[in-house]
Amino acid sequence: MKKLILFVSILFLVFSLAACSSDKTSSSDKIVVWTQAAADHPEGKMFADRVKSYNEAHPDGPKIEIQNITRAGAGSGYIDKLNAAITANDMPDIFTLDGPDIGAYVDSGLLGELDGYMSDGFKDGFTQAIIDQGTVDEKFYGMGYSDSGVAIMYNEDMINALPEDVKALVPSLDQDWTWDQFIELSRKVDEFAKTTDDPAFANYEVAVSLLLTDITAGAYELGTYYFTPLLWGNDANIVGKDGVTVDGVLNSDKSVEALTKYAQLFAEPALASATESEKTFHTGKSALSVSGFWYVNELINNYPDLKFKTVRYPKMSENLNGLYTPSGSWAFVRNGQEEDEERIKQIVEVMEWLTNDEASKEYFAKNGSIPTRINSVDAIDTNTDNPYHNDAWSVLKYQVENTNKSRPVSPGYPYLSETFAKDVILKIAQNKATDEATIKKYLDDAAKKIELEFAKYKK
Amino acid sequence: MKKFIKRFVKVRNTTEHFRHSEHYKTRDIVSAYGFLTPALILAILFIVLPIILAFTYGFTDYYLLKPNDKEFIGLENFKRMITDEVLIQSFKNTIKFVVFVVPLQLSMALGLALIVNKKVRGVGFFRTAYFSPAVLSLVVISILWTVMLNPTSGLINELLENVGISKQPFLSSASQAMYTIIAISAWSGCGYQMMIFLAGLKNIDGSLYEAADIDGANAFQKFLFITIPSIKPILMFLVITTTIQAFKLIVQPMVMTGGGPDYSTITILQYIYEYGFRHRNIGYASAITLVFTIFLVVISIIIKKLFIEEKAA
Repeated sequence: MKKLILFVSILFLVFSLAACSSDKTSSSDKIVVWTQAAADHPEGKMFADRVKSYNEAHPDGPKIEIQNITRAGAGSGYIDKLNAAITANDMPDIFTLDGPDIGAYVDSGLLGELDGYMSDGFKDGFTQAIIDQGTVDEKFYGMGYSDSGVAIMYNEDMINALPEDVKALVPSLDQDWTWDQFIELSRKVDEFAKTTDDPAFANYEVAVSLLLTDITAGAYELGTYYFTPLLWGNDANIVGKDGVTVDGVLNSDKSVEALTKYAQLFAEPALASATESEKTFHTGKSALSVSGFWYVNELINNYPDLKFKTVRYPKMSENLNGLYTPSGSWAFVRNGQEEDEERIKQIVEVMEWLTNDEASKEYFAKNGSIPTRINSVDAIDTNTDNPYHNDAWSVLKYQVENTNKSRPVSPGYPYLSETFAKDVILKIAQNKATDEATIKKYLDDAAKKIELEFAKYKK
Repeated sequence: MKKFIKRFVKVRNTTEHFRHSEHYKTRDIVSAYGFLTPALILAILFIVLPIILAFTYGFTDYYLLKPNDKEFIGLENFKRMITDEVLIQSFKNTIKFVVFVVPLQLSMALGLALIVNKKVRGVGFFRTAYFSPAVLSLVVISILWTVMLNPTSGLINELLENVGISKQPFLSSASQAMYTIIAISAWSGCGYQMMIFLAGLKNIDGSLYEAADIDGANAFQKFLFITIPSIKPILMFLVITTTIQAFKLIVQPMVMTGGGPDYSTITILQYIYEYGFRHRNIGYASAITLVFTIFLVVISIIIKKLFIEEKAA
């Protein structure tokens, strides 16, 4: 019996150690792709289908082997595995990264550039925001497979219950409007909600849903993604063009001015909350919502009773006609440690297959991923039987083609984004800070903190 | 001294027994090492090695995305710690949590143990009910309480409003959030400790209480002069384990507040995690880990010393 136990113990140990050792995934006859999608999610399935079609179309070339490693929370799970692979010098040939993270990986020498390996004109087929997102120091590294977008949604029943003069403040879906107008509408909605017995307002809690609770839960990027456009729209930014200068940029007077407008949402009586209920907009607890594009499918599929309309993301100023709406998403990048020119060409060919016009259309059809290719944007169908779907995608399509702007490229983007979201966006909401002096202090403190962390990039 | 000699003789006799039992010698040694090796290797891999690595990395600028580009930077990381306001805040928060949660949790556990120790009908149900939070995952507990404490639609605030108390920003106010986490942590942890206290209470000789009754002692006197001294070893054990556990707080603030508002609930472990994995600054995270480990060792030694002195007295 003792011998048996001893044998089992040793066996267990051997298996444990074997499990700890890495599997050599890269070989010349296959190209390994890692994605952050869950295998059973439509996103994971669409990649699997695309890989399958490549392997069928190229029976003599290297086979693509895809591994979908589920991303848990804000980048964990998949990112942990990627970090482990980097440490063990065992990175896959192709992998996905969130667009704004590309700068950090390029700075560490982990990504290989794509210029010179792509087919003629392939890069120009991407929308400008996607090219900007994947470009570091004028070299292209990331082929975005999905864009994104943020718009304003409103609860149609609630808006219909408003007096005519307030209803008139709601723009049509092809009309621009400003943050001042957005806040004015929110204020009127809130005033009406507190006096009405209309059943549409039965569950009313707050005028605008901002999903700031996601920042508290660790999804810091959401705060930066949703609200950096306020700064862009006021000729400001969170970091300088060099990607590492923060002091004097993040805490500039223009930034203070832009964020003071955002802060008006929290002036008493507050129009938004840092601790809003779960699914506030979805369940009729708010009349308006700053909503990501993923809301469209979620609302149509899971909240069929909710009548929602979509309007454009507000501008900071009526005169602004530049790029100012949030955009960007995950992209395919290649392992920069690969030196074999022939193999690099094969890898880039696979990346093109995964992001070309056809793939882009497929991804929209299967997962609602906003196309990243100019020729594929028309795949967004705005003539379906569902008017809510049509309105939402009309707005998002317009923004992709005309106003989407990529987030800034910086080697320290994750830290930059987290600090901005947590120490500025969330803090303003939590402390209901609405005066310029307090907002300036938050920005100064954040800039000081980021500068300290960024010192290593300036050496 | 007498005790020590007795123990020494016992150990020597056992060793002698094995020395003279040639028949078992090889087999026992092989078996012992066989059983020991897996655990030993795992302990070296996952405890000893990380400690050594944390020690070495603490003096480098190790950035997770540049694993082959580590440079020795001397005491730079440690110097930075002195001026890192969020780190100092996280340390203060952790201490605050420990100072409040240990007495609160143990008092609750002892109180519950005293209640369920009564021989009344249906006590089994209450025993199970009080113990049940201990079997739930901390993440689940944290999510449930976050929903219940929601300032606009949470159950707790609805109840408060119904009795005329205004809604409270339990988790969204910098002045309330840590105390809310302390209360929830004490609630979720006290069930397990209640069971340990209960075991101790069951072992108290009933004749002591009978004698006290004859002497005319009231309930409080019996609690103070019989119950407490009788469960002192258990109490000390729980003080040590709860204190060490409390220093390791991470799940509740991570899930419920993300360390906010305004860093009022961020703890040392959470800060280490964020720097190491989110910001990929392994060098700095290792330096904090190193200092925190030394701090925990010192705390453990102090508590252990107090415990030994108490026992000797």
